[in-house]
Amino acid sequence: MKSNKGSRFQLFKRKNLCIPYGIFLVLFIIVPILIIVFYAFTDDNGVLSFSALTGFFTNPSKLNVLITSVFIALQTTLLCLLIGYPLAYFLADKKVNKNAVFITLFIAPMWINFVLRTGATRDLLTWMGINGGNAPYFATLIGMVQNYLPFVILPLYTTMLKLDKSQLEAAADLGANPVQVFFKSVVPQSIPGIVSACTMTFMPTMSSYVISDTLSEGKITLFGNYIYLDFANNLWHDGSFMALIMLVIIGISMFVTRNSGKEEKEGGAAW
Amino acid sequence: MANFITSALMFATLVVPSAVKEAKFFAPTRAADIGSGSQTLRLLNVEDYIYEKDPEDEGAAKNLVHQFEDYARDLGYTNVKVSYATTDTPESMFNELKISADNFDLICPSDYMIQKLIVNNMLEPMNIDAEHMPNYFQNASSIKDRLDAISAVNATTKQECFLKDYAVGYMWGTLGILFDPTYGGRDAEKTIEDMQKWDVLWDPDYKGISSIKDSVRDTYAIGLLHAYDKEFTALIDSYNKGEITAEKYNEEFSELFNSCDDATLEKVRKSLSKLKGNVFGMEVDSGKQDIVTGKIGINFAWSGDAVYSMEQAETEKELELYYSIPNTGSNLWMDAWCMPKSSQRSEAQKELAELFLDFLSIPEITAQNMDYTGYTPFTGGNEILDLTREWYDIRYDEETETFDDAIPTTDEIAEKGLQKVDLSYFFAGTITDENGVLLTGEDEKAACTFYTDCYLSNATTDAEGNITGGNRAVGRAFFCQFPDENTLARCAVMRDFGTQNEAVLKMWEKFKTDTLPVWAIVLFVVEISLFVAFGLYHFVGKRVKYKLRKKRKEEANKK
Repeated sequence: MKSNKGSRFQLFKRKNLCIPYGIFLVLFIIVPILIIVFYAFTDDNGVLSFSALTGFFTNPSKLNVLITSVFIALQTTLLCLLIGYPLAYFLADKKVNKNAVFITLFIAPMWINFVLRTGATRDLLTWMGINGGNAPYFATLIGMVQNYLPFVILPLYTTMLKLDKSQLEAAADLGANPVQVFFKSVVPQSIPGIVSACTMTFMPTMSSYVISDTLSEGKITLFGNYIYLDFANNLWHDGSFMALIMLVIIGISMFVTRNSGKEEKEGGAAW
Repeated sequence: MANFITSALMFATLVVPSAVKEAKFFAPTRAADIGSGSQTLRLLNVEDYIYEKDPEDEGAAKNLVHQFEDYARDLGYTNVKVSYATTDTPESMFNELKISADNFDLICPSDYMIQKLIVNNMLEPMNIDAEHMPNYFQNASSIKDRLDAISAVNATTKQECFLKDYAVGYMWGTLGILFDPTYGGRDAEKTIEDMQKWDVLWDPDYKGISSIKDSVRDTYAIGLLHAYDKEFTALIDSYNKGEITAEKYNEEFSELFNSCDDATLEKVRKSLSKLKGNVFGMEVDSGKQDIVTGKIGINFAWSGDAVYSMEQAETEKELELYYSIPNTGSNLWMDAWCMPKSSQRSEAQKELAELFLDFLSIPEITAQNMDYTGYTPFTGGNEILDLTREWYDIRYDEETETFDDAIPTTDEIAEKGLQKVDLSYFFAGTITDENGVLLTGEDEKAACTFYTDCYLSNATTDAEGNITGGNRAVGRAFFCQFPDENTLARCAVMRDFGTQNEAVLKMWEKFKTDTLPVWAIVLFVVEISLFVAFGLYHFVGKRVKYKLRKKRKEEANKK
């Protein structure tokens, strides 16, 4: 009887349950990455070539766009943290946020497609007199912050929920004033949340395409826009190489994040 | 113009259903062996560029591609299917062909892209002659000659190929400035005067209200026209004074308009950089709506989009927009169908494709396309003439739906401020009388002449309505769709950049990626140094503390 039962559920063995995702992984993640690598290091005749590599590091406009992208990404991340951190701290207080209604309100924008949302933001900002014509950087940053704020609030909120309250109380009992409690106890405890919030914001901002294009009216070119520009003009090798650079930066940031996570010995990053 | 859409719809419902049957007159001869078995014609076009049935309008004619299936069946083909795919730009068409050349039988790119395809040996010549495409040849306007004359050298065979063997014209138009003359409380007269020059986009008086195209070729063109404004102005002046002929002028204009050597590129980039600070933004398709909603007051536009915006502005906001083809000249662009090279295509499929192209030139069918897209076709014919009269000629009575071909009296012309517009360059040789006999001489001239109150604005006319002077560059939708010969003379085709393609792209990339403004650099440096300082403090400080503690412990142990 027992062995019979086992064979009937053979198909649902743990190992087999991974097969659908395995197929997906190979077809839509591994193979495309290999194609990117192939195009990044070949020329039009399919022969090994480093022209895209040298082209990237010798082209001032490409380095320019890299700097601009890092700048925008950094500002977005900082602004999001500045707004999102206190908010998450207050929302994590059960007295303020009964039944998690507030947090739902703050992450609700995520449910609307961001292209539609950006279109609406453009109209709103133009009505307020801020537009790509007079303030392309400001308009882009507003759009970026609006778009990525939920991605900052949510991981911070989940870490804040898990804050060790007794530690805070102990600190206060031992004579720390509220400011010291905050910086010596709350912030260190929420580092995993901050790290995951940063990765959720920084990289997507760098490669974002629609937001900067729509809100700066095409005046600010980010890494993502540039890759698109290359592909639209049949420069597949250059475009692929830039995509590869993007992947490398993502890889580095993942590595850094993982290490800092280990340091804190806290798997609290829900995102 | 007020009943533009209604009358257009009426036309579509009344005239079109009978179209296919009548068109049999010109059915081309075909080989005997085709017509058996099922065949699929695979088309690739840009979006919204062919007549499609409005699903809410029961009485409207079928989608144009389905009409072709019926048409082919009536000619004895069994089971013809059309598969119709769309993409967004000629560049992405090129990409599609690079990935797989065998996926399409016909594609519809722009003039320069056809040149590029020929250079790359990616196009198949077609049988473009009166025998295979009688409708196209019967109805072709003189714009066809300008398409046919374009050539490119095939890099593989080293042969010079002319587009007349490769491309069948579809739509054409110009690039110009679409604007709202009263935007922001401006004086309409002055705005119209200013808009006759490309320099207006650089003018600080119009700062932050204009949008340009986020596409390299179109924006390059205005950068060039601005950078060489002196040369272009000198050229048009000597033409206006009668020192050079129209052909000579157009030749020299075309030569100057197509310069793209390195020195020119640098000059263009500089003028574009200045432009970037003066415009509202760069777009490829949001502009045609933005000018209607009032976000912007000036839009650097393609003529077909301009017609669309004018119509929208009029119906939604009762706002009159104008279109200018500035005096120093502009770009004449043409989209045409051509056949990608493929080893898998049978002779029968090729003939089917040619039949389709001929079908597109049947005036009734062309009229549906013109009505739907707002762009100007390559071919004329009675139905196109009727549609144009219906839209623009004041002698068309909307209530009775009749056209009175009597010439208006001089009193009437003076009273209504009518202008006489001669479009024989477009319609000559394509108009027939009720018996199907081609009109000639005076009759033809009369048929190609329109009387309208909405062609050029602020132009001076004589007693008969002939335009004699004043503004020759700014007009309304009629001018936009059918610019006069005078205007066409100062428009040139912009060729493929060829070997300079890469240099132009580099220039464009440079233009697109500005260095950060000063405040941003300062902020950036401050932030980065703060990070570094904090990092040093954190890690070095920790280590120092640790060492101190260790020392103290050791000292304590010693004691």
